[in-house]
Amino acid sequence: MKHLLTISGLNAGTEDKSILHDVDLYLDANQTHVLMGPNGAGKSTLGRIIMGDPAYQVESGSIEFDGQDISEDSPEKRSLAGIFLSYQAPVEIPGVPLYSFLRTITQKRPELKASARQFRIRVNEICEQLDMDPGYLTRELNVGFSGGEKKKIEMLQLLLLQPRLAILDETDSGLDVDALSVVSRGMQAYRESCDGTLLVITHNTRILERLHVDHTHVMVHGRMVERGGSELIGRIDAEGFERYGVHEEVSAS
Amino acid sequence: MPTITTKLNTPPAQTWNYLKINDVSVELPQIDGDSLTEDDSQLANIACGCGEGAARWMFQIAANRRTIEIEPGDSEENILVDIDVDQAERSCVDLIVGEGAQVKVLVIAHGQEDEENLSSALLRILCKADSKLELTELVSAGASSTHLSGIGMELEQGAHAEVKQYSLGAGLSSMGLAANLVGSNSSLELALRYMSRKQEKLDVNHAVWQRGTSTKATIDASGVLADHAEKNYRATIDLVQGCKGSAGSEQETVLVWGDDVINRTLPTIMCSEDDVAGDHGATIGSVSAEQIEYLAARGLSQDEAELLIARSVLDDALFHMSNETSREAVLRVARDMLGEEEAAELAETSAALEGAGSNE
Amino acid sequence: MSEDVKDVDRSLYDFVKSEEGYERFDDGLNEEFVRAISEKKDEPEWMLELRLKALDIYHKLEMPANWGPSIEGLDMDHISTYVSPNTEQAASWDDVPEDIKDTFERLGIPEAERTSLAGVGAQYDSELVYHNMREEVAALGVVYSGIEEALHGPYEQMIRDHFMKLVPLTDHKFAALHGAVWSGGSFVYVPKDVSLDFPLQSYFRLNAMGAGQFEHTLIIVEPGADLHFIEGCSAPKYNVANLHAGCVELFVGEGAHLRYSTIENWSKNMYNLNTKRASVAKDARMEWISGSFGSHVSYLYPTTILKGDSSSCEYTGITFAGGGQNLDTGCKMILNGADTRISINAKSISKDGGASTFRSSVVVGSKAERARATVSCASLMLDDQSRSDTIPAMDVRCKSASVGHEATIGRISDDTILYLMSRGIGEEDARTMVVNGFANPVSKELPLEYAVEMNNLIKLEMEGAIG
Repeated sequence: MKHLLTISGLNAGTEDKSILHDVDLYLDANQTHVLMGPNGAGKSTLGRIIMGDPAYQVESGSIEFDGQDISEDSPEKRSLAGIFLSYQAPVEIPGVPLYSFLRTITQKRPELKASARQFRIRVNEICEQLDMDPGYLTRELNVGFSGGEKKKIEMLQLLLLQPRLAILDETDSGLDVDALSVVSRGMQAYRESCDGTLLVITHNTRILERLHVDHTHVMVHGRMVERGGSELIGRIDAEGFERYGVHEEVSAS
Repeated sequence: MPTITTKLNTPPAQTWNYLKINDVSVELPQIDGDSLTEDDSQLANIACGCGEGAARWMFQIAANRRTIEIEPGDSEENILVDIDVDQAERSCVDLIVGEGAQVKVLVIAHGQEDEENLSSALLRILCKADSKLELTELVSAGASSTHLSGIGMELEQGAHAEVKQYSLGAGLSSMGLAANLVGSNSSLELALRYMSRKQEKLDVNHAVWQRGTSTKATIDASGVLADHAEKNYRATIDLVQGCKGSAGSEQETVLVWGDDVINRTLPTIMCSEDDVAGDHGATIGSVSAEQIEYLAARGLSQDEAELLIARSVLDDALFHMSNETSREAVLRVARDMLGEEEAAELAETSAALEGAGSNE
Repeated sequence: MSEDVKDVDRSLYDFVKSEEGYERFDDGLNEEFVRAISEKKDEPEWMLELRLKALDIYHKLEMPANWGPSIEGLDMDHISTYVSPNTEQAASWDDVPEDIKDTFERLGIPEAERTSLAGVGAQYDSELVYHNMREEVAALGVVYSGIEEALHGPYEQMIRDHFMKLVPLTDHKFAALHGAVWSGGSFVYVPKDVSLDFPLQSYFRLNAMGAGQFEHTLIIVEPGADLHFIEGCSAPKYNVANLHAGCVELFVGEGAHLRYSTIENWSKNMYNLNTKRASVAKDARMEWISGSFGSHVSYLYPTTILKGDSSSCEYTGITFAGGGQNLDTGCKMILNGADTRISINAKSISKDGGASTFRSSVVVGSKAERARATVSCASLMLDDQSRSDTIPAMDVRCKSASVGHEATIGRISDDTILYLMSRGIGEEDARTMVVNGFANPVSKELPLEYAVEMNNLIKLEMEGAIG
């Protein structure tokens, strides 16, 4: 069987520092994966590299999505192919109403094209799902939004685009209770609404409570050190990463 | 008709003259001395951002002068100042918002003829204690026309004004707005959105004096300059001695979208009080690398990202227009800039969104 | 730190020496004076012509009436444009007249020369009294001399090609005045690929009451060369107006680097209407470090023209305006080359009714592809009697350029003071500490002894600031 995402022998980093070493990772369709690891392990970097962030360079290895090598593709091409990365700190774009932004990114995808009315109905549904004030829609993209509101906007895009692979970078341990519940509700809704695959990058186990996890991956010092089932989460929660030679408390807040 | 060269939109603090940012010169028809009217309005002394001389001219030339008084505690949603630029209409409105009253005002200057018409709108507003003003202004007129807008407002204790100005086109769109926050706890939220294309010229002067204690003012300007457009933008916040506990903030974002634009900015903060916070921030030029990266991760190329930002000016304007004339004036620009199809899509999107903005 | 600081004597800068035996032109300005200056200096004919042309322009130009601090108190009819101590320029401090030598000793110049400078020029009123450079630096082909001296040597043509070319006589009224009556200053030439390990320093002392100082500094840094130049200035305080209208022209060649540092501590009766400008070639780098503490009124905006692709400039400045001072300072940047970079970091402090204005312009031409500019200014208000204005103009015409600007104005928060006091620091010391910290980005760019001098100046200004 073909995997949805296959990363093999990946070595990558920034211009002056290599971060990932011989990373192998495969994800199948319609599953939930968790990527855990101590601070600075390279988890967020992996997410950025899958999205095609030009700040990072692939030295060797390949990234295949749906059977195609995408490692040379631009981020927008990967996005249109069905990869989604949620940002920890989404950028502010003054002058661009959230609604115009949503409409534009949706209309770019043939499978999601809709009439203005249908689109509005769809957005309304999602707003309701996320308990989000529709008044947000005419405000400028991320400008003056709180951390929790920005998360809602990321989740709103996730549910609207229904990507085939959604990478949620939630390594920021500074998430407040509100934002935490937004993210976990969003993930749940996404998994229920389509057969996309979810890759949650986190060291916060609380965020995973409402989720059925198929596989857990552990990354330490830029290397994949273990692949297992959901039981790994409980173990890491209890023991931290000591087993991998790292002494660090796991955040459960 | 003989004309006088008049300097408009001079900011409270000026700088090097060779930069050509200190004012804009306009040829105004001379008004016959015999036909002068005495300005006995109680709002005659309110400073308008266009400058004293220009305000006097705009008062004298106005064929249509109105004074609107909103009784204390009342609410009025539909004050409309409609200027047909093609007819060279000139209006002057004095508005007194009584204590605790709430008003919504829409000022539109619209037209499409490629004629050298000169229109003007002078608005002088007194917001009494604890009143609330929502003012939306739109300028969308033909490529050779000149529209002069002069707005002055004084905010008493606890009064709040929310102003959104849209300039989408005109040979010269001159917008001067001055706000005097005399009352304690008074506040102003001022936003300017613009789209300037072709040979159009936009000249804006925002001047805010914070005099009362604990006043708040935010000025937020963003827009797009395409083709050979010229923009001069001045924003001044003056934190006057005695305005303890006040905060003033200016933000500006400009997308330079053409190879031949003129794009001048003078963001000034004046301060003669220590217990205050004043700040200013600006991002000028291309779309930032972070914005490009984020939009790319959502499937947009750099060109599409720029187009989104440009289109958004029209979207945002459409979201905030409350009558058919103003919506049509926005759509006219959309049709010219984006084509029939895109404009129709814009209209549908905004129609579908009807009501969402009201929850803000 | 307070041990060191308390040793600083207020009279450090504020002492007057006798003018007996000096040559002093009558107050005022006319063609006769201008010819007399030129004749005294035995100048080439072209320089006299330049002076006369400048005088003509001076009479025609007006000061702009719509911006800037008032200079009404400056009456050119009561300013002597030329005061000479009547001594030969010396190359050894032993040959400098005792009075003048004592002045520079008190300002610490010979001491600094021995320890950390590659060369020193010292000007007293209108003329240089001392000029010297280390032998090993001279051996590299570096020229550092009085500008008049250089006009009589092999560099005459080079000076003619550059003098008042970057700052045209028509630039503004006081640039024209400078062109007419300039006297003294330095000429520096650094040959290709030569790097100086130590800075050169010129110090300008205006001792005479009611006089003007009009020194000209011309620096040519050839491709690949590297120089740090320091300029210091001070004067005793009088109750009549003094005028400083110097001019600085800097030419930075391809791939070269020039750092120009100024600590300006003119007395508070001084009108400081100085003009400084640099032209920066491809891949070259210009740095301005500027501390403005003195003078009654200042108009000071070093200008940088980034002509060459990939050239860059950094401006770091601090202005401290106390009682009776109105200091209008900042900088101008003109980005013409592709991939040019600039950053501006300006700080200002206002107290005791002082007014400081940060004024800048950043102009990005339509050919300056991918140019980047960041402007950051912070103003600190120490009381509610003072003024602080920030007036930054920008004109950005290039699509691919990007300009970021931020400005803040505020005061020292009560929390900060309370925190420091709760750690046992007195209020005055706490405020001085915060102000020093605020100024730190500038002082850390200065050579150690100047950083100390700057901190001492702040300490002096802050004394008795509470009450």
